[in-house]
Amino acid sequence: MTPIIQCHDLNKSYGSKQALNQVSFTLEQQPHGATALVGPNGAGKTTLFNILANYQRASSGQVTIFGHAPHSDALLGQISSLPQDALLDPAFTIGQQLSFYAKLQGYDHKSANDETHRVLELVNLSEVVNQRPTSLSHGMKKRVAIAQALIGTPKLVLLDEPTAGLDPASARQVRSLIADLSDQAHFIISSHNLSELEQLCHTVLLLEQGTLSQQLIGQVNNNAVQHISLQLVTSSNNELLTVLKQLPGLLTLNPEQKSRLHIEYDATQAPRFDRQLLDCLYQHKIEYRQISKGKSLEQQLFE
Amino acid sequence: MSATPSRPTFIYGLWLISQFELNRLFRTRRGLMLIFAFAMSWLLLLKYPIYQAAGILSNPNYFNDFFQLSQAINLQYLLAWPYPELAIYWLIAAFVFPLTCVFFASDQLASDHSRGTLRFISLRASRNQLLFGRFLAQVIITLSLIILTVAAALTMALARDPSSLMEAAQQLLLITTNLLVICLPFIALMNLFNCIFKSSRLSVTATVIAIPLLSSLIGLMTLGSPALAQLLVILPGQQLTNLVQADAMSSPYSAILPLAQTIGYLALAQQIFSRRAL
Repeated sequence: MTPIIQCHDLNKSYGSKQALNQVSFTLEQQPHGATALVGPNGAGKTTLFNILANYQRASSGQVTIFGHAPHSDALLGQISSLPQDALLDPAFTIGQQLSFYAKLQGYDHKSANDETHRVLELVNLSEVVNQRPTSLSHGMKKRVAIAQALIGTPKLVLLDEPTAGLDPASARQVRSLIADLSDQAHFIISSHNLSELEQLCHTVLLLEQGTLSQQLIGQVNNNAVQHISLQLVTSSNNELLTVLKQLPGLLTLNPEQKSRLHIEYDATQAPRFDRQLLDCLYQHKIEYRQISKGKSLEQQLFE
Repeated sequence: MSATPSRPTFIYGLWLISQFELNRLFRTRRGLMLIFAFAMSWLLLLKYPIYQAAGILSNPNYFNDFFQLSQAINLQYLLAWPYPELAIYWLIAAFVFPLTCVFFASDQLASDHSRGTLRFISLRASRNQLLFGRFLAQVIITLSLIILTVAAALTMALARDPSSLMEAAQQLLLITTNLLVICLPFIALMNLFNCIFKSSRLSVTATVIAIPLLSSLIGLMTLGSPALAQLLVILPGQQLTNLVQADAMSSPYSAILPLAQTIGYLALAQQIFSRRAL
């Protein structure tokens, strides 16, 4: 099956600044797909997005999307994008513009209007169809831009910071929307919110200073050494740490923050370690907020 | 997501882009205000210089004077036209419309580019569709404005003398066609400058500065080598004076230079726009 994206030795420089440096990766088709693109500010995430969406060309190297070059007409309507800082035209209403985009994707007049209403409904903004972009708040503009990315049946959706600047309820709604639609299209999401990416993404690309430093593929950890993150209601103390250290199979116990502990244990020695941990917490009346198995994305990337 | 519709053809996509731009002028408040301002300007031109001059020209007492003057400046063919209103209109419009085009066509891509709106459109339409669709829209807009003003000039002429309408038909067609051909390279030049500059004002400024500057520069260069005068063909409007003076309106050869310039500017714009970061 043709990979979604194949990048080989991709370089992009702006004058003397190298934004992308020999970036190579292959993103295979997945049944339920979302890929995270993470990295510090200025790492080259938006540049990579721009090259994939054919907003700009690479200085050198090859990139193909579904087997085609990014500027190929075959990809029109197949790739959609939420670009950073792009605004709709203030002269027209939201409905007129989304309907125009739908027509460009092949919809007739009536079905373009239906499609406009459908995508606005997805982002819970049906009421703005006759409003102009200038009358919307920043968050609403963002949700409308997400709606335009969902017009038609794109196979690849590039979302650059989709929840940045949204209120918590809207951000949650957008996450849920991505999760619901990720079996119909592959999403690539650039975000600094690692817990959000952890919820949504199966594959993670880490860019640092223009270089792709890690490509993590979500998989079950079958190693003997396993990890648990424990979020307590109150701060941990020495007494609690002493109790937990007595658990059989425990290898290391690291307080990451005052109320968050990272536990490493040997699963061959203690195959039911998670259950023992819960029993221990119950017996000592220790209130917890969350237990999660495996390393968090943050731990995987930065430890 | 919804069912997949089939992608529109290149021509239909191009037409959709043009149609959207026509809506921008004819169906938005800003566009209608622009047309209103244009109509008011032409109302003044028609009412004062054209109407007054036509009145004097149609006076038999001044015919000999005008005949001698028109011979001196190669405009005697205009005296044979049945309506002097159309003759004066043609003389004024041939020089006013290129300027009008520069302003009307100054924002084919610039605002959408600086705002990022092109990023939304380019996901659904090729850059060629975008570039040529916007150009086509400006051509249709220019043709509409020409027809509007020609119709107004004709109405004014008919009000004075309704008997020669059929005789004027040929002039109406020639005026409309020639004005459009004159304007094409200016629209294409604005299209090109929109691919280079991110602002419509900058595109207008560049046009207003570049044409006379390059013209003077080439003029200076010809002092050393007269053959370099051929370089003037790269500038739009070079044929204007000859076209107006020599009764070349009905000759298809008069259209060759502006059409070649239009194709040249558009080809250059296409090369730049296909590589430009959006």
